[in-house]
Amino acid sequence: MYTVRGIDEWWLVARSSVAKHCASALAAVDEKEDAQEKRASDSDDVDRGGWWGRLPAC
Amino acid sequence: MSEDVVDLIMQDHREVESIFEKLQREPEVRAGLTPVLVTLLAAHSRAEESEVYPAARDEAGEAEDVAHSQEEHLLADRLLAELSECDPFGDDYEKKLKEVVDAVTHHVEEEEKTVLPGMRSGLDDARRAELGQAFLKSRQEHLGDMPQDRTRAEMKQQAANADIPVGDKGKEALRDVLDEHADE
Repeated sequence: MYTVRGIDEWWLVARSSVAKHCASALAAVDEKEDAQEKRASDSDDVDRGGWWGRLPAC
Repeated sequence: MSEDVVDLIMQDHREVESIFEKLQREPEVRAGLTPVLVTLLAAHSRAEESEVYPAARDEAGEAEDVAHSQEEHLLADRLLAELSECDPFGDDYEKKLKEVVDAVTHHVEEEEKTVLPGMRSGLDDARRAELGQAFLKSRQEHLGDMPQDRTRAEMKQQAANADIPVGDKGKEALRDVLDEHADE
């Protein structure tokens, strides 16, 4: 069985380790999802006529 | 087939053990079987993290063991990503495979002694069946993922499983809270 102190330490180590992993992955996740959001936004722009709709008529 | 989430998770564990045995004994199958191992474990982990650990933590009183299991998933993800980079016929493969086998076997043993019995006793049959369905659906959706593929939402769930209060924090606040807990 764990002592109360043992549980606290066990939990702290786990929490700190997960936080480190997530913090180190955050930049890559942000970059990927920002690029996806931008692509989706650009695509909406085109669908609504966006830059395409602003081209001079031939 | 049982729909009990505990049985389903244990079936996956046995499947992974049989893949480990094959990879260790039959070097000729490594090139074809390593990607199967990697994606099966990645999908299994993501499904546990999103569907099972929150229930184990909040409904079955398994918060400490869930936090530790989450930590071990992240270690396994790193090792699996490294294994998938190894040449299956190269010298490094054997060493990396041993690291994966040791880490995952340790995790499976602990999970089967702590989190899973806690769910068996703390959740009723209907709830475990409901979680079983959710687990299978999520695992199916993640098959094909690499171990370190994750969305921001999945990453926030991993942090929440380790009792890091991420809530609906935006980018900057999320970074701050992760940094704060990383320094504990």
